[in-house]
Amino acid sequence: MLAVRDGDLTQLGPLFERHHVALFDFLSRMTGDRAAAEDLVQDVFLRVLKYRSTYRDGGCFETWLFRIARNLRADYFRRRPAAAALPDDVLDRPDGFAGPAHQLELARNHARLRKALALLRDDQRELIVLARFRTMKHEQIAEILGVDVGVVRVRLHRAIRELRDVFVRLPDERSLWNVQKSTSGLPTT
Amino acid sequence: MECAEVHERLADHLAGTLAPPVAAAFEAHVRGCASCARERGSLGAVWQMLGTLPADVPDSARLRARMAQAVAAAGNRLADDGDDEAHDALIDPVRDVTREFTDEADAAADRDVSPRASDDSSRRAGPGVSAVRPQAHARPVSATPPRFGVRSGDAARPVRGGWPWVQVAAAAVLLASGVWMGRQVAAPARPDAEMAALRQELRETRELVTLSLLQQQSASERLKGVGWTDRLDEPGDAVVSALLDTLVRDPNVNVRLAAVDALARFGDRAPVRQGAVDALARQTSPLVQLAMIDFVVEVDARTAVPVLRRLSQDPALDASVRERAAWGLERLG
Repeated sequence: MLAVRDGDLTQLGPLFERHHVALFDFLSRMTGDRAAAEDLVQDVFLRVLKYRSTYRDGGCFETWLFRIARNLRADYFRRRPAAAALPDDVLDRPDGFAGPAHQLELARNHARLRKALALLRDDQRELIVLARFRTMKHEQIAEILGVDVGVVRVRLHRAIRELRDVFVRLPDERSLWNVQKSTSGLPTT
Repeated sequence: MECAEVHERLADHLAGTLAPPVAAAFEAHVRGCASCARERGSLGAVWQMLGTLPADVPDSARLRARMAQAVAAAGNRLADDGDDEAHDALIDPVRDVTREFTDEADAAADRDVSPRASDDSSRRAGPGVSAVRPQAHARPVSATPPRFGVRSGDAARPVRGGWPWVQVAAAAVLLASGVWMGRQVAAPARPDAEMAALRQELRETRELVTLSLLQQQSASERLKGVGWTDRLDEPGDAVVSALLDTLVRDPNVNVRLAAVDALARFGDRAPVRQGAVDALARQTSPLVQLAMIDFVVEVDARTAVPVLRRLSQDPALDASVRERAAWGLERLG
């Protein structure tokens, strides 16, 4: 990044290659919308280009990158109606499972877990995504969020607890499906 | 260590970042405290499950091409602002990235003979929120203007960004409906042939909207597309084929389940029955397998017997699928 900052813009490509997958995963999980996540990844790197001169020596590039990503993501949510913060089809993921009962159970739990994540407050979901999916250290998360590391620990604990509570309150996909089938007069299993 | 500190350290414990002496104190407390043990157990289970969720993986080739386009546009703006050095520095990598993607796209086009495979790429294409889109930019960045991120034929395909196309089709439905109703109410009786032509036009437009919705990126829109088939009294083969295709290939289990229900109306058509049997053999989702077993039994698809037999005996399948397949065999056998 230092090279980019100092004018070697050819180094933007390697930066993109190194970070775009992680960035996309973060933004896709935060927005629940792959198309929006792609747009935001593009916007993040354009901002890197635009604000390259503000990058500080010794700073962690990933932290700087995710700060930009959070700001853009916040703008994205501001432009959308509050009720549509996440799309209805947040469960849109290939299920692609087959086989034994434990895999079926796992797939059901994944669907519930995604739904539960989508129902969390934005800041809680963000903490979980950074800590669990991006496996960032609490210190790095604290730097991205601009808070003390102790605050991250406490908020993360609350976020996981909230996720658990939402998760156990949600009915699983199978029981929902059976309700639909029984009300439509089709045989249930 | 007290309960409050255990709670404070729980996130570190889950992340595995507790220092050894602290971890030992943590464990010692949890062993003797049922409340903290429960908290650790339940949150630990959620944490573990989070770790099994698959990552969201981007379409890197398309993102790369979009970046090339966006960076080129930014480069042009730099040049416009008089920053020629930065502009020149941007152009070479843009050319490289573009060339790389263009070659890849050409190779993919050669490989991509399946219409559905190309539909997948169009589904993923979408405008979203960015102001910078892959499009012909105002100023060419090289002697040969590159084909940024647009595969041949993309423009003709329905994509999320292709909403105007869907809207035009929907507007055409409304217009045709209005014309038809207006003529029914106010105009003198028309010859049967003209009325039949209008009805045909209305039906074809509805089919067009349905087919377009079934190709959208969003599962909600594809669900709407499946729902639109209810408005078609006698849908043509294209719509039925699209529903069967959805049943086999749609990545969303809810859309596939809706397609099963929609196809139930056409169970008297032999191609639908055979298509459902073929789709059942290829399903991997237990939920859809169960729905389709019910479907083939309901439409009395005798050709499903070998598939049901295989499903009922496959130890790798979910037990409920095997049981339902055995039930279906009894009904059809």
